Amino acid sequence: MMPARNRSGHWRAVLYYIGTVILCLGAMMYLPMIVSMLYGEWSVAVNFLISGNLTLIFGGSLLLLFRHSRLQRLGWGESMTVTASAWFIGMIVCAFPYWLNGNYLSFLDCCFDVMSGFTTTGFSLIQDMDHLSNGVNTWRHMLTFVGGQGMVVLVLTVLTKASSGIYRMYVGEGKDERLLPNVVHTSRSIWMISLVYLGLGTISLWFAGISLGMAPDRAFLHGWWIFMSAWSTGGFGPMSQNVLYYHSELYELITVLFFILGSFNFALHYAVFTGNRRELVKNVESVSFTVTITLLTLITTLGLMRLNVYPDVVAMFRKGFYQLISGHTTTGFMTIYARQFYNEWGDIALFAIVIAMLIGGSACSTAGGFKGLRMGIIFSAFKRDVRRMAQPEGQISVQRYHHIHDVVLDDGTVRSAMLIVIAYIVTFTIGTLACMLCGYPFAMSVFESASATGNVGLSIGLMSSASPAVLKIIFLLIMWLARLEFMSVLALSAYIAKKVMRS
Amino acid sequence: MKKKILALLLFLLLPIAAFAESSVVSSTDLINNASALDGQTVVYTGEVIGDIMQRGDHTWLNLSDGSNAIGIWAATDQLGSIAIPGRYDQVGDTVQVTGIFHRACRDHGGDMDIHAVQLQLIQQGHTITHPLSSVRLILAVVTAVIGAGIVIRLQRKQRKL
Amino acid sequence: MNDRNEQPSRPCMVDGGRLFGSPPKQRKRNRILRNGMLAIGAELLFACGFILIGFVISMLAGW
Repeated sequence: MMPARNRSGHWRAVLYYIGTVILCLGAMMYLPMIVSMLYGEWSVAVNFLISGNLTLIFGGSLLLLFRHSRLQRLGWGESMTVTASAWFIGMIVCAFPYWLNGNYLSFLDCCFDVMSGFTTTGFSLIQDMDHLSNGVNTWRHMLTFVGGQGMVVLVLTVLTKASSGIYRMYVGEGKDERLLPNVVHTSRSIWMISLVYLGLGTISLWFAGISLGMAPDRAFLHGWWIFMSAWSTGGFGPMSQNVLYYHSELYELITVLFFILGSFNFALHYAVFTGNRRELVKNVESVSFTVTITLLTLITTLGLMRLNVYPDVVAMFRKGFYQLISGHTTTGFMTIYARQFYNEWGDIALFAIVIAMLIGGSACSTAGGFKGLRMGIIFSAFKRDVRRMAQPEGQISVQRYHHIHDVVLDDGTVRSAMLIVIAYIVTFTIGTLACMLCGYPFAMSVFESASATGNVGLSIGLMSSASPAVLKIIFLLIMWLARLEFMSVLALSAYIAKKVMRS
Repeated sequence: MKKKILALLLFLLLPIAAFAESSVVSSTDLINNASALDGQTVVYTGEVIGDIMQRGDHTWLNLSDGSNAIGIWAATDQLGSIAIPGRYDQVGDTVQVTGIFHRACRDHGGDMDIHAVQLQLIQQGHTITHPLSSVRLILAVVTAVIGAGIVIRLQRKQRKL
Repeated sequence: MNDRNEQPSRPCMVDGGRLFGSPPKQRKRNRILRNGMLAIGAELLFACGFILIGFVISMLAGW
């Protein structure tokens, strides 16, 4: 069957692919339903059944209505519109289980938490977390796991054929690494790596939980949830105290290992898994992360030392370093109370952690922030320009950086990196201003905005269910924009504007 | 005889004097005034949540007063009949703990915690039921039927394509 | 003439019962497993390096 080539079919194709994503999200809702049934949480199970069915009906209807447009060739704009729309509509449908279960004060709070999960931020507005059902806890953590890999990536793993525009949708999720020539195979590779670590991580945390005195079934559930949150650098925890709940250096160590690994570029994982283990130390992102984590740990430690915040080496490591690396990898796990950042840490340590949150993790990973690759590119460009100034005129030098293979640094690459970093800074500034306009102090506003922009989730106690609705909406949009690295959301806005102007 | 009466009086009054020095605090007080309360004897009341984690001859409890949860480190033999943690389907035991508050405990890697001197069960926990709505059950069945129909139709159409 | 060269695809037994010239699929599976395990080990070790950085700096602060 020849694909339709007229432009009026494009919106049908957009809706077809959105329907595919919605269908997958609906199917996902049956897993927390099963968990609830196993624990006799019948009302929760029924709520997930209703939500799953309604989502399947919605997604399936879109597929039925627009299936003839599935081979329509989509340009960059339409593909990115699919990605951004799928995330936004996905947020609304995935909020239904929360709303039906009555764990939130408003539907806006439900949507906020879903977006926080999808974008692997980790802010939560949920009520009475310590009495949450196992089904809802499973759903919360699944959202971060799927969001971390990417919803489009999820869909691609179940597709049997890749049509045109699929790669562009994949890029629209803030990923542009082609592990393999075929983007469907790339997506499946990403999932394979994640599933291998899912098994390893869940088992490690399961046994750790048992050793801490938890019952085996609860240790398994907590291990599974905490792993999904760690690997996706999401930062959700099943209890209100987050990782502090476990009071365990073993549990903290295991989470650190897995959230560091989760913040690595999937291309790096793929290179290592296919035998190129030296890539771990040669890669520009590894070098960049090593430099920034060392410098920022020094600054944080200095700041905490000056105020005598922690009494000894172990406390400095388990509190100071843990929060810093949690912020730098944009995970958001916490072993202190939110208000302790504001009350105890002081300006120097807070400064370091804000910088860490903004820089973030690696590109094409579950992490947020500017990304280590861009920091590496910008630093290489800076080195090149300084060298050029010192060179005789007419001499040509070529600057390279190593990312899987040696890449020549060209002005186009530098420009792209700088544009995205500027976009992040503007977003961060808007978030900070919005908080201050709502009456929050400067330090708190800077911290919380950096946390949202970097999709981190560390909280200084600003964002809560009592925060103004307008601030929740702004933060929701910031999390969405930052996670998709701006282009998809801007493409969606341009697409809608064009349609409105035409009509 | 006088010495015995004096000793008895001291034995009776000393614990009262000790408790008179303790502050009754909430979790918010502890977090916001951590430095001021560091090393003090405090009285804190909350519901046991999650898991009672026994580690050798000591146990970790997390007590929530509705705002935050605080970790309590207690000797296992102090627990007595404290056994029900709060979860989805149960309200946990309400416990009053008297103990030394630490802003950043040296023994526990800098955790904010209370080392219990005394634990008292105020109210035993109980099961809570979450009734199943018949309206939602019917809605679940109806939507399941419609959803199944759509999925089957979709599969047939996909095969034709 | 060398019989082994005339029939290169036929596996033959050597000491220890190991197959010399095992089928390509099995070799590929073994290679994937080996690379996978080495990769996990290498990545975990690499992540431990960052933890070590944090611990060393915390220790220096303790001095």
